[in-house]
Amino acid sequence: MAYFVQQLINGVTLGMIYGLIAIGYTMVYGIIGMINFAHGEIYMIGAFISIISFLFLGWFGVTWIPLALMIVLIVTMMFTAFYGWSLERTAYRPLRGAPRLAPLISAIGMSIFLQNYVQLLQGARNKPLPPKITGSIEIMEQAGFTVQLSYLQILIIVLTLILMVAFSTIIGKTALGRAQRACEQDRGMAALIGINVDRTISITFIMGASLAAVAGVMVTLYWGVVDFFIGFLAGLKAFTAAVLGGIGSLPGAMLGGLLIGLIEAFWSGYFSIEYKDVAVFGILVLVLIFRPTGLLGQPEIEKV
Amino acid sequence: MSDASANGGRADGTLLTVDHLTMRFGGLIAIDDVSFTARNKEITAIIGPNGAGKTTVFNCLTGFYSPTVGRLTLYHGDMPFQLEQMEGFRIAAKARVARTFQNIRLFGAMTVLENLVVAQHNKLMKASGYTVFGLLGLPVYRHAEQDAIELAKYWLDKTGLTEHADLSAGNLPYGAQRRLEIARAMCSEPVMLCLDEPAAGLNPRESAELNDLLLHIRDDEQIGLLLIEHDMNVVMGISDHIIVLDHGSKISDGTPKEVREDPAVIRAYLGEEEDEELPPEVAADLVQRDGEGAP
Amino acid sequence: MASITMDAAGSNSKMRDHAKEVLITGFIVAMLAVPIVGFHITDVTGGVGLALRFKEVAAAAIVAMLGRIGLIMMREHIALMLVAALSALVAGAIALQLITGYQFPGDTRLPFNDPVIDWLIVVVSIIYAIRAAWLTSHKTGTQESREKAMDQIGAQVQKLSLLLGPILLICAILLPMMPFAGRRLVDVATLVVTYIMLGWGLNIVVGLAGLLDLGYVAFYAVGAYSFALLANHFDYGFWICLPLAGLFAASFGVILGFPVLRLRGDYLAIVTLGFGEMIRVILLNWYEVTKGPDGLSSIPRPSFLGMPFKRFAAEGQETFHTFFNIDYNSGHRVTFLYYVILAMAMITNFFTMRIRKLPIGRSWEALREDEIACRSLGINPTNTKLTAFGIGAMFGGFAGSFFATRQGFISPESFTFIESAVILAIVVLGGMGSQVGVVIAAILLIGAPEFFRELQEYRMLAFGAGMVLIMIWRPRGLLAHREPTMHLGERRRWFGLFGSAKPATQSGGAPGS
Repeated sequence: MAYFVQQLINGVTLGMIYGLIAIGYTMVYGIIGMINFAHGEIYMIGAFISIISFLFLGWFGVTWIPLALMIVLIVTMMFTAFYGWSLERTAYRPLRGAPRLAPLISAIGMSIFLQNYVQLLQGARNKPLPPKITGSIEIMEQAGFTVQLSYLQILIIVLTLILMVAFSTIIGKTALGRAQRACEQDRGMAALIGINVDRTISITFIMGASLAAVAGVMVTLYWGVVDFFIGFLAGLKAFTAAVLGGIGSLPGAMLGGLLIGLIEAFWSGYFSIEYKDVAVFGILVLVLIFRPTGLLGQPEIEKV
Repeated sequence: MSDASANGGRADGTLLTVDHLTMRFGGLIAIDDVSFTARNKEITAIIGPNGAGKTTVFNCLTGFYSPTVGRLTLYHGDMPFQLEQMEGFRIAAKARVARTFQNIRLFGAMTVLENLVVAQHNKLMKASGYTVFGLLGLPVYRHAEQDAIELAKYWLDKTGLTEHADLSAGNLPYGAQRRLEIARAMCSEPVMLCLDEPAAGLNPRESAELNDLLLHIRDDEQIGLLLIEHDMNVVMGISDHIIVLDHGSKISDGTPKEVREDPAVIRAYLGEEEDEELPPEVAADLVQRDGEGAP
Repeated sequence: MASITMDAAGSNSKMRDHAKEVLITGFIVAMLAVPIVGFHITDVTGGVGLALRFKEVAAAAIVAMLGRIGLIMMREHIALMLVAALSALVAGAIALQLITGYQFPGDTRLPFNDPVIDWLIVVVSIIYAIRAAWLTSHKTGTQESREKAMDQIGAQVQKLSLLLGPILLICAILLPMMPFAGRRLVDVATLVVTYIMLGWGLNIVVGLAGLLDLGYVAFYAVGAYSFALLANHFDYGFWICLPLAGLFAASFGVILGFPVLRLRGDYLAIVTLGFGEMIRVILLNWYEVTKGPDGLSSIPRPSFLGMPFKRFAAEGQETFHTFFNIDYNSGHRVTFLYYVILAMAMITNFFTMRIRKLPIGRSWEALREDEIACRSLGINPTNTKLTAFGIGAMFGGFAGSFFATRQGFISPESFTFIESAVILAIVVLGGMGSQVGVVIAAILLIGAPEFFRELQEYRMLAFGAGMVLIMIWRPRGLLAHREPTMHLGERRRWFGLFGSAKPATQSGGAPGS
């Protein structure tokens, strides 16, 4: 039981991080119908910027964690957003209206480019960051096994939930959100009624990149180590999460992320840690076979 | 040309019977207990206001939807086909029901000729020994392909597309695309052809040509046609039998003359008389159309 | 030219716009560069430190702004000769320093202090100079007219491929006999042809059937591993293992494809990608069979009619060099391997060209165009997709076997997602469905970078950037032109040189027609 609860906590934490990245995929897919393959790289860049920010703050002796964390989050989100915006502007916007595969190839190219760009400039070695937030609460003890909920895990879960609520509000209630939903439905029509489609898409990328940046900060804190390659697998799993939840749906992305996190944690905990990725993709395949539009996706009626 | 029609339909001429067809999407009832029959060598039109469920009937018949309730029986050959139990591509391949689409669906990047040859896929697959003979270049396949091209040429000629044969289908003008879709459906040698608004977007001349083409298919190919159409000139001009749907239910069924005079149809098309008076020009137009439509 | 007719006020506001554009470019590049370029996470004992590189950030911003100014001037046709001259000057100056090692007075070398970046600037400057010079004598067409022009070139090349194909093939056959062809060149050529074959295999799935497969490397891996396992455990030779491995990969494709081929495009892409990763993880962890990360080694090399390419024959065996009574040369095997893959690739090509003109091939293309219409014509979509998937997988398996026998050693590291991405890029960049396009794209993407092996670390950077640039330049691929599989009317042949062929009902299916 205790072991189960511990895996549950770990899974939820991991799932929150995947969910944050997945939102970026799902929003971009919703609005321009493409897999933004380079989104994982954006998250990786976010993680690097967060390490750099922590180190930079260290120079100035800003060590009071709440303040440092606040600054790091804001700085990372801002700079990462620049990457998200530039990505869309250079690699995807010229391909609006091109055949479906063109932006995908462009995105894969961008992903390769960004990976190597970071590797070249920051080196291929792991970048460790000493733990910043330590300590934990002991929840229960059973047969010599203590279930621990660390402060960091609490932070990750709470912060993700706050962001989730904030973004749902933006998309559900503001003019920007309405513009986004209008572009999702019909870009041509949205332009006709005076929505600046290019700007709406740019903002979508900026939002997605900021969330990925938060995920990057969290991963840096949680695992304490990043390298230039972390974007690939995280991106893949986050996209899987988005598909699992039903692509285009914000709560779906979060739910998918949680599920992936839980599957991964429980599979590693009870079966074998080596095959956790196989389990994740296996479940994705099963879900798609029986519910092709994902868990929360709108089941679509085939229009003939 | 096609020998398919030889055994199409029951002895009494019935080709298709639809019994108690009902289709629900979640809470929405698109078709509610509709029954009708269609006969071989006849043009049966299904008309009705927008949203009456006409295309849904087609989608049930051609296997794109499986009906919630109902029996759809097609008579040809030795055994009747229960269409509601068959997958879409099997309905086309085995029961030989061909269709066209409201939004034209051509193989845009392929040429007109290729579109027509793809329609003969199953026949050619067999002839190519499921690709083996074809890869070896055996004469049995070469002859089959030659026959397929002959059939395609016949329908190119009938639809006036011969000179466009080597153009890609996506580059054809709209009217030609409509005709190509019909030609493609006919190349699959059906016993029943379902046409979903074939006259939509055609100019009057093209529309008249379409009438001739459909009459040719009925009289010379001797198969049954099922037609959804809004253009009353087409419907009244060529149909042998008209079924009127409104809000998913059948409200009238009979010859063009009977249907035109049916008060239920007039109500469905023009609304309740208490609700609104017709503007005089619309009324005049209707009278004129009636005059033209009369055989 | 436009600026001359403009009145003063208009030209003023235009200048302001241009200045704004340049400044924004500089600002954005600076913002991008500040975190990643400006700070370097250095490894220090017991952790990491931070080093500053702000000179580089400034340089990047300035270079970007200068580039933007050049672009604007070319766009607006302002002082084109000046742009050309300045770009040429920059290119010349940096190239001179790079080649001769001479230092101009002052710190004129770029602060990256890295020849590759400097060379990059030389190349970009040369492109600017040429483009500006070209613009002085030509008017630029619109994007659309340029697209059209390229499409026409594509169509021409496609027509030429009747000639070009055989010429390329003859070149490929003669390549190892050329005096300049060293072992290294043949090695690179072997690699390129392997990717051409993979590209042709994937072209069946993506280009013809329109199924987006992001996990093609899975079949490559299955082919390679089944080849290695069959060869090692049952002691079969290359020529027996090869078809078996291909069949194995094909059945694997069918088994994988069966549940997932119902899925729509992008879902299919992600599932195939997932399969690719699953295979890799399994290869990595199923130690008893695959030896995990250690990989499988001592995979037998192919033999020529049973004669191995060895210096010394085993008991009762004759080797290639003793049979032909020539001196032993390890290059023989390299050359032989090259011909093996060339033959395998040509078989793939021949097969594809032929099957395109058969009902099954046409139904693949029809399925790519409109699945619903296919169903309404009685085409079974699942079976049709499965055959495409299976046949594509089979060629992937063949190529995998070849890879295994060439390397003599395989490990999961060779079958990462990046391989799938590269193969897909070859297909899409070449122009979907175009056989010649695949050849050109493979030479560009695989061959060219091989000659820059020394610049290892920049290779993949340029590779990624190249993919993006080519896609933006030609969204439909380099040679996006579809040749119909059959003709009804007169068909102009040999570019009208010999008049037109006799009008007849010609099907492309029959050979020689």
